Amino acid sequence: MSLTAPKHRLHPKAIKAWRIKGLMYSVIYGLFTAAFFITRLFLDIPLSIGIIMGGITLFLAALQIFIIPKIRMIYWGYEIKDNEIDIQHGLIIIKRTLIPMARIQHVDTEHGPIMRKFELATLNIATAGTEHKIPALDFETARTLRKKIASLAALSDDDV
Amino acid sequence: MMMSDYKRQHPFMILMSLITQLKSLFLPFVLVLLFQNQGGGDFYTDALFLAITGGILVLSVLYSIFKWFFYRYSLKEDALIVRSGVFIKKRRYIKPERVQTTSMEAGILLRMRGLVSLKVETAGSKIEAEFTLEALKPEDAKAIQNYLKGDVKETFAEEEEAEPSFIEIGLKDLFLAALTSGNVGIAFLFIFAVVSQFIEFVPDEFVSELQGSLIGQGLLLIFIIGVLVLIASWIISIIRYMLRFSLFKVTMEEDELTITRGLIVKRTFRVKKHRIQAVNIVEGILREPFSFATVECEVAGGGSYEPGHKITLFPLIRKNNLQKTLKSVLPEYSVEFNLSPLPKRAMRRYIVRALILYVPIIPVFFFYPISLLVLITLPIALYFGILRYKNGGYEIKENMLIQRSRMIAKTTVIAKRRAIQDITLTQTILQKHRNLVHFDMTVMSTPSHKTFRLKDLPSSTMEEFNDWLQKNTQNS
Repeated sequence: MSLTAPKHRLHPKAIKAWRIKGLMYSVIYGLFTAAFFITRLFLDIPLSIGIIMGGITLFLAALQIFIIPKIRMIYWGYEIKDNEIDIQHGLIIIKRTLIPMARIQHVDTEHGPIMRKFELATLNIATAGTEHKIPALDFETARTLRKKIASLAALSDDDV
Repeated sequence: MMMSDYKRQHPFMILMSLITQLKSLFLPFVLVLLFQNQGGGDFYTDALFLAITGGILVLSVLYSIFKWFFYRYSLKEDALIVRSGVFIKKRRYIKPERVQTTSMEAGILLRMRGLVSLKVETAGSKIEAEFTLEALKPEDAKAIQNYLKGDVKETFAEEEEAEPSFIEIGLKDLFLAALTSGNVGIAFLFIFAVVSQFIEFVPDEFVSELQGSLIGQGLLLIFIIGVLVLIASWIISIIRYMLRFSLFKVTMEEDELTITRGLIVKRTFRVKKHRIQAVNIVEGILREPFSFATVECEVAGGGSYEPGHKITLFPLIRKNNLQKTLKSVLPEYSVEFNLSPLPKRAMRRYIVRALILYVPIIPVFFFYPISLLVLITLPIALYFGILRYKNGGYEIKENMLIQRSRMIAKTTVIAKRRAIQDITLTQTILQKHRNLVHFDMTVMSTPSHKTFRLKDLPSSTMEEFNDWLQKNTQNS
């Protein structure tokens, strides 16, 4: 994209967290495949279906554990400017979102179990109609950004 | 003063509420009745059934009366207070400054009694109205509207002051608008639904006879029936449109617009001008050749005034009249624009997008050569692809962003900077080679928000949008 990429990156630990998430999803797909083979002990279903299922599972696992986290990290960027938040993310399709500070209605942080393990949090930014996320920030950064955005957004007191 | 007294709605609300309840009971009732009949004439079940029906009826009536009795509102100094609830008491405070829009409505029943219903939407309300007063005397509704407008004193003042200016739609324009409204699809579905319902009641022998004759007469008959159904749908859509938009009138006051429309169900929609987020100029394919356009607006939290959450500002307007009319209604949006066209390199992508739908059906051609007939539509698709490219454009003009694109209808969106919630630019790997991006802008709308997309802009425009968006929003 021609506009200079946003300055800040996500925390490098995010890759590991995403990989673990990917692994967990892969385990779930794996369970479905396993369920198929168990069913096959009792019912007469063609083996080929099972092979295809296994193949898809392996493919998705490779994608989600090894490939996607890295690419995602490369493109993820954000920047909190005085009057705008600039977010870029994507894998094949790169999305660049510009949110005027004056439009922001509220910000909050959240973290799920895996992210908490890595001491990472997601920053949620909501305007009157849309919602945006900056995932995988370390706790300290997330807290600082939340405060910063809250005070910057409060300055421009615009009614809808 | 009378001001702090709680008022009830017109007792007619009891009947309204009863009707709504009976409506929701109607289907279960019919179902029970059907099963009942199958069981045969057992006296006790019959009696039980009657008793339950009677009981429900009495309860409904009582509930409606109580509901009316406990639903009270009051116009206080700083807030409109609504108290309601038969078992669970509710008390709601609505601050006039938080109210986004109010709309008045009167169905046949209400109009026979000369009453109206009033809907009030606040910033938080999404799909359902914040609250609805189902039956009011028009003067009471007016009083509430005036109160919410902020003129507390005026609540009891005389109605007439300086007559505000307004715009109406003439009968000829209304007819033209209906003729070109292109709601054929919806009406067609409606007819289809009715016919398929009707078929169930037709005796079986008749159906089989009809089928025999259909095959006998060949495809011609089916074709004729199809055409007739389409024509009928069209006529119905025209009538529906005319009923919906007859007596259309936009009244302009200093900071408010009042839109009235409808012959059978009369609706009034009142909106503060600064709640309007964007204006769309829509030129449907049937209207464009005659230089006609429709103007709609996006309103933050507008409620359900028209189907599809649209709010029509002018049902039909001649394009050479557009700027003049916009100036008198919403002067901010009356901007002369001179859009920057899309870059040449985008055209190929527009054409590919228009034709790509044909690719998956290529294998079918080999198996069923008759399907090659589909290719008749290819030139049309190609034409639309090129048209989409040619019509696409954008311009930043002071505090306004103007964007034009086309799916079927050509749509020009004019949005104020302060209404834009966010701008998103999307780029695929293929676009990267050509330095193009998709441009999305989101504005608040009913029920939540609306995103307008313009495809394949040069990526260099990102800088421009970024700078523009960052400018101080204070005086926009």
